Amino acid sequence: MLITVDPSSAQPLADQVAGSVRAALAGGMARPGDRLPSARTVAAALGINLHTVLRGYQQLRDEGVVELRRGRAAVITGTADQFRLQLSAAADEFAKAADHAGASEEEALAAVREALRAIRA
Amino acid sequence: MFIPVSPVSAPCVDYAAPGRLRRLALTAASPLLLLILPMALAALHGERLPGRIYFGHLAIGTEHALTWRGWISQPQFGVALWSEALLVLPFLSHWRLPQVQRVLVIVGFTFGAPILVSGVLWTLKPVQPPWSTPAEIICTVVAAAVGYRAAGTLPRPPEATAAPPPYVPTMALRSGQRAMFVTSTWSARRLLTSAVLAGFTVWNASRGADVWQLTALLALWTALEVAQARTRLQIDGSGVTVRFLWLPALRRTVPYPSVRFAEAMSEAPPGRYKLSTGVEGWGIVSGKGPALVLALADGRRFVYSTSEAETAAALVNGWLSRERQGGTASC
Repeated sequence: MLITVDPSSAQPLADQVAGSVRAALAGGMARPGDRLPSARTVAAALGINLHTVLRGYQQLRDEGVVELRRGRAAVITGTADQFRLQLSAAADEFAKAADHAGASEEEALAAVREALRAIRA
Repeated sequence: MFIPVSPVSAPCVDYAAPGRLRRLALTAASPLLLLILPMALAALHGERLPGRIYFGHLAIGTEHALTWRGWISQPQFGVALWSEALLVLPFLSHWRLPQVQRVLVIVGFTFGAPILVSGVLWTLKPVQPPWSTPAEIICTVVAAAVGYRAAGTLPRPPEATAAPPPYVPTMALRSGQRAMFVTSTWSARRLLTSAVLAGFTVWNASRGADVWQLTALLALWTALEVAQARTRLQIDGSGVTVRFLWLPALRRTVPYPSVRFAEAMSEAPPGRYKLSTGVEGWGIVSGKGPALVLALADGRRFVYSTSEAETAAALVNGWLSRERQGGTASC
């Protein structure tokens, strides 16, 4: 499982941690039953605060993607919605590209609508 | 895209040369004690000694005249020769691996300690005291520490400075971006080996074997095999680390300066890749399937079986590219 964070990004670090796990699930690099690395390990490896990683893991728990138990490793649940995760990962990628290109929210959404119309026409 | 298996093309650098002869002499010294000490004892205290004395668990007759023919007929002569071969031959086959040579020095000292203790005890007291075995155990532990020190500081391995070649997968890491990759693997073969070894250890202990070193060695070997049955690979800013999930204190890291580049191969390259560094390198190979292969600066390889070899290789090359092309690698 690959977890990346960029402190210079406007996206909060906890969201970036959660996004990495979602992307791993959507891309098939992680499967239900897999254990996430401990929050302490991730914090030490990425040089970020332990509570930041825990916030990211709690986001995933609230979404039903992982099961968190005190004193035990976070485990990816069998009920993780693969379709929604794939959609979310694709949206993340698009949002990053749009942000990089300097598009406004309206312009980005209009581009998505147009692309969908073109595909479904 | 997996890169087909190809031989490592880097020349094998002989960085083990400094201090190698010293390590060889220290390794070869211990078995000689088995020949020298009984002879010295017989020469010094021949009349006071009983007809049979014990070194470690080896009985030696003292009634022989001090002649060469008399001594080579003693069992310790053959044992010393075998021990010498068991220590020196692995040393010669690991001529370019100072880490292995240090282990052999430690093994040699550990082997020599009980002989030395027995010799000293026979000199002081012809009848063995009841505390001779605890004394042997303590001295063996101390001897291992002394052996580690005596082997000296190991020469530094060579370092790579060139960026990875363009044909290997490389992840684009922005300046300041931090990344970590974690995966784990099981080895059914290691589990099976551990079960067999555990059986041997229990059987050896239950029959009341008087050679405690054998039981301790079997137990240690079992623990190492169990530890290797489930491992975790972690790639982050400090390098590539292999950890044993059931013995987390045991880990081994390949720092980035030791890595030339990383590849993802459809299967592990031919050779024996184990926890200890061998002629081809080291690593954890669990059956067939994709493997992350690091080309190391000393011409060897690190191999780790994982289905996510492509991602792992791309991340390693991403780190290397950023560090070696003037980027601001951190974390």
